[in-house]
Order: sequence, then C-alpha cells, then structure tokens
Amino acid sequence: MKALLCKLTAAVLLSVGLASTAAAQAQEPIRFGVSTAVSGDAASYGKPFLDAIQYVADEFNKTGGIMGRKVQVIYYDDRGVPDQGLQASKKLVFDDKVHVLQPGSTSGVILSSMPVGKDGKVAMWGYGLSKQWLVESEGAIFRSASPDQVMVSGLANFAHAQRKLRRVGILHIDNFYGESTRDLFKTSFEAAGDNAKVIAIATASDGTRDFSSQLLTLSRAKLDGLVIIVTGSNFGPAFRQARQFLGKDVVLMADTQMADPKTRAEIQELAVGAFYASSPMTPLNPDPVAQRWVGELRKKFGIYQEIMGRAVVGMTVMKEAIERAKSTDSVAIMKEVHKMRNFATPAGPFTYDPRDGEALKTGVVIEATGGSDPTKDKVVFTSRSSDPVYKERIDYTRIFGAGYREQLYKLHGVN
Amino acid sequence: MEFDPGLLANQVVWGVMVGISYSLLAMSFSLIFATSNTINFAIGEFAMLAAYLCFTALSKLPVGFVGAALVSMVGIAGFAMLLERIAFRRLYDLDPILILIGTIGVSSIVKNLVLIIWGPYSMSFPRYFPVEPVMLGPVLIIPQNVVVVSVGLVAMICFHLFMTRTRLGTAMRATAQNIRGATLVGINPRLCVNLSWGLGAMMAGIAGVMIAFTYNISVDMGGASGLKGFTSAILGGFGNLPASMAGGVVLGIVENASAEVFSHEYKDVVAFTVIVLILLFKPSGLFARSGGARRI
Repeated sequence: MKALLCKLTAAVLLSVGLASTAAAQAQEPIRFGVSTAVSGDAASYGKPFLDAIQYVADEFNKTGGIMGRKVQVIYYDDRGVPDQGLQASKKLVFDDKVHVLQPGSTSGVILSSMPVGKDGKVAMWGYGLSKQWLVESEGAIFRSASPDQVMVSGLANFAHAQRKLRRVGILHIDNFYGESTRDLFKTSFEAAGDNAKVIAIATASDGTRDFSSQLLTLSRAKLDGLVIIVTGSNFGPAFRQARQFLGKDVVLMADTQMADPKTRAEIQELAVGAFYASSPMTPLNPDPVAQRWVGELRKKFGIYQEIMGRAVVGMTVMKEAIERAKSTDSVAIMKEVHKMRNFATPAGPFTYDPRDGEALKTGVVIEATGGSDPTKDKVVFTSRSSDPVYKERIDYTRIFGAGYREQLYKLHGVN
Repeated sequence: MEFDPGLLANQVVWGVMVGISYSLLAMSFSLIFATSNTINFAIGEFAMLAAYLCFTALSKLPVGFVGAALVSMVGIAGFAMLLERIAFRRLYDLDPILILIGTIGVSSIVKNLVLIIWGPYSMSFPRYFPVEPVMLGPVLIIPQNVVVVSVGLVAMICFHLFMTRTRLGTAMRATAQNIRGATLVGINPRLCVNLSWGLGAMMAGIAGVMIAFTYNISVDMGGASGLKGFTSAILGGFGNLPASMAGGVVLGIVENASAEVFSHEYKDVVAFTVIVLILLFKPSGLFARSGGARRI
C-alpha cells in the first residue's frame, strides 16, 4: 500500500511537472531574430526595415500573436558588414535561440550568415538574397521580394524597347549586389539586339560619395543612358553627380532605391525623367493588401519605404507558415512555405516556385514623374515570369528528404 | 583603353577641387597636433557635426546659408574648445597613444549622438546654382563646385593671414614651435592650445559643409573624410600647415589621375599606397623638412 501511494504521488508530481513545462512552452514567445543595419551606410534601409518588422510583430500580438503565443523580435546591428552579420546571426541562433531568422541586411551579409541558420535548424527569410543563396540554402530560406533577375531584366527590356536606348553606361559599386546587377543588366540589354551595347562601365568603391572620376570617364563616352547601381546613403550623391556631369539628355536609370522618399527628398526635382526598377510593393500599387499596409506603415512612421513592404511579406508569410505547420520546427515551417500558393501579400500573390525558390516574380519599371514625391510617379512597364529565373535547381534532399522535390513539383504542377 | 589627354586634364582639375576639402581637414589635423601633440581622430566627426549643425540652422533659423554656416562654425569651434578644456587638457601628460584612443572614443560618441538626434537618413542642402555642366575647352566644370572650392580657398587664405598677421596667430605659432619659450615671453599656452582646437574644428567644419554641399550629409561622412584628411596631412607633413594644405591637393590629384591611368575601383588603394611609400622613404612628408620645427 505504501509502495502504491509512493508510485501514485510520483506519477501525479510527474504529470503536474510535464503539464507545467508544456504550459511554460506554450507561453514562451515565438522569437523572430533579425540581423539588420541600424548604423552605417546600409542603415538608410536597414532601420526602416526593422521598424516595419517590429510594427508587424506588434500587430500580430494585438490579434493574439501566432498560435496564441506572443511574437518577440530580437535584433542586432550588422552595419551591412558580413563579419558583423555572422556574429549577429550566431548570437541570435545559439544564444537567443530564435525560431525564425532574417540573417542580414545585404546580400553579402546573408552569404556569410545563412549557414548559421542552416546549421542551427532555424526557418529563414530574407529580402536581399541572390540566386546562390537560394540554391545553396537547399530550401531553408525564402525571399520576401521580387528577384533582381525579373526587375533588372525588365528595366533593360524597357530601356531597349520603349526608350530605344542603344549606348548605355553603368556606374556601379564594387560589392556583390553592384556586380551581379551590372551583369544582369548588361546580359539582358545586349541580348535584346539592334546593336544595343553597354559601352562603358565605371566601378566605384562601396561607401564612396565622390563619383567625379568615374563620371568624367562616362561623360566622354557619348551615352544615351546610364544605369546607377549604388546603394544606401551614397545613392543620392551618385545620382546628383550623374545629373551634373552628364546633363539632362542622358536617361538615368536605377533600382528600387529611387522609390525611397528619403532618397527622393535628397535628389528632389533632379529625379524627374529618370526610370527605376522596383517590386510592386509601392504606394502606386492599387492592390488592396498593398494599400492597407502602405497606409498603416505610413500612418505609424510618417513615411513608407519599399523595404518596409519586404518586411511585411517576410513576417506575414512566416506567420502563415507557422500557423499551418502548428509548430516552430524549421523543417515543418519551411515545408508550409514551399506549399504556399496565392497567399496575399503587398507584393502580390506569394506562390512558391520549387524550381528556383522564388515566389514573387513580378517587377515594374517606374518613371519618376513626381520629383521629390515618389507617390506621384507612374508605372510604365510591368514584367512577369512564370518560368524559373535561374538555370540551377534547388536540391531539397538533405534537409527535406528524398522524393520531396518531386512531391513539390507535382503539387505546383511544374517540371 | 586608349589614352585620352583631355580626360586626364579633367581628372587633374577635379582632383584639385576634391583636394581642397582634404587640405582643410589636413590643416585641422596639423594645427591641433602642432599645439597639443594630439592626433585627433575625431576631426572627421567634427566635420560631420558642423554639416548637420549648418543644415539644421538653415532649416530652422531665418538666417540664410551664410548665417547658417557661421552658426555651425561657432557651434563646432565652441564644442571642440569645451571638449579640450573638459576632457583632453587633463590627458596631455599621458602617453600620446592613450590620447589618440580618447579621440577615437570621442568620434564614436559624436557619431552615435548624431545618429540619435538626426537619425540614419542622409540629407542634402538645397541647390543654389545651375546643375548643367559648363565646358571650358576640354575641361568640364560644374558651377556649384567652383563656388564651393572658392569658399574653401578663401577660408584657407583667411586662416593663413590670421596665423601670420595677427598677434593671436603669432602666439599660437610660437606655442606650437616652443611651448616653454612661448610661456617665457608671456604667452598663455593653455589659451593658445584651446584656441587651436577651436580653429582646427572650424577648418574641419568648413570642409564638412563643403563636402555636404557637394555630396550630402550622412552620419558616416566623417569616417572617410577624416581618413582622407589624415592621409593628406601625412603626405604633406604632419604638424606643418602649408605642407598639409599642399598634401590635400596632391592627394586629390593622385586619386583622380590614378583612377584614369589604372582603375577607378582602386583609386583609394593607389592613394594609400602612396602614403605607405611616403612613410617608408620620407616620413616627414613631401613638403616638410626632416627634423624641422612644427610650422603653423
């Protein structure tokens, strides 16, 4: 009898213990880790990106969090520097034990940090990815933005077909983004034929603000168009100097940086007549989901930047995937991301393509008609792709098992 | 690529224009070093802070651009003098390396304060001059830059006149050359050192406003500018004002000409390689005599 009582007591204590552990786990917040730039040149987009993430997390918490658990955002400043991003991701994954990771503020940072998330078995998303990272991630990460391939080749096609440009120059910074965008534009533009050529390319160190020597060289090349691939707070000086050195007859082209109201306040009426490639996450997008988030973010921060839309996409897709998976296990979450079709985001329907890992394959070209106000710009060209944008295919076997790729291909009806 | 002499001439002219701001920063480094034996690595941040002060004065006060620039010069000089009086005067007896580390700390504090007050976004001054370039023969000129460079040159001339034609300037030069001798003839060396920090910050401030006017204002502008100013001072001759002034212009020309001759991508590399060569073969600088007295 005494032994039975002891066993019963032990069983009761054990079950109470287990129950309280489960309850504690249920109360534990879902931690979103973010490595981003809140200082340095990349802070001009890293900080609003973080602001938007925190806003979306607050919105989640107001409506019950995710699976009844609070959402907590933990971030570290990577300054846009790969080494600091690596340290930030290590801290987030191994010390803070985040459930979800956004591993860096630039493509270079993500290159160094993504393996940390893979090793730590954390579900990941990022906005600044390129094809290598998607292919090498083996399905462990998704991109919350349109691929550069779609946006930049759209700009090249627009320059060739609509503006009839044939002698184009490129001014780019010497980092991964600058060089890959240069190659993308050059390949697409020259492939369009009709003697279209990128006849001059000038490279500048990442972080420089003085582009005089590059632009002097470009000014001698008799260009009819110039593509400016400079990021962060150095874009304004590059654009201003390009206008000064090349005059108003040369058509200036750029990337999403020109959708940034802060950049536009900097270059003001000099922007008029320039064209830029962007994702559809701009205030010009009439889609109700886009309008809702743009409106809310603008109300909260007094400003909307395209990068904020990328934060919204990443956070909302991740929330949806966690809720569908009913788990914070990285494999279960990413499987739900891979299955996703037509999930409404500010960038349009999110439909994962298991071949290249891209889910938002729409880009637009916008004419800067609004001077310092990008909300008065005009969309002049839209490019969409339902084909894979890379030759390489993602191999899911190591993380998701043999036969998984075939299942996904079948689910999405692709070959 | 075929050699284009017209383009090289353009690059040299633009090198001089860029070099004027380096000269002002180099003079700031040299002046403070000559009087207080301090290599002040916060000079770049002084330049950045002055640019922010000018921008804020211009947008908040009814003073116009010249008034805003004056407000920012007074502000940055006052800040530097206060900093010298409160923090650095107590450190002069320490190892110069410790003082140098102190200035790096100050630069970090200033940068973070600016980040808190003004945020991470870059801003730009309104344009007062036409954007379109003007061709003078083969040389491409931008009117706004000519005005900015002229202001820098006038500032340097005024500064030179102040140092050579006024009693206060002479007292500061005497303090730099021989602090004990200066004390014996009745000069207050503490005041002179304090003033040299103020004047040095003002030179850096003029450079900062020039750079901000030409490019834009951002929290990170101080780091790169300070490094170029420091390099120019070494190139010309650290602690020697006329040599530092020349060093800035030479650095600007070397940078731009090397970009044309070698590669734009490596123009900073070429500039810093020149510095390594100078330090190896003529550490006193290109325009200063080895073992010569500090000359401000």
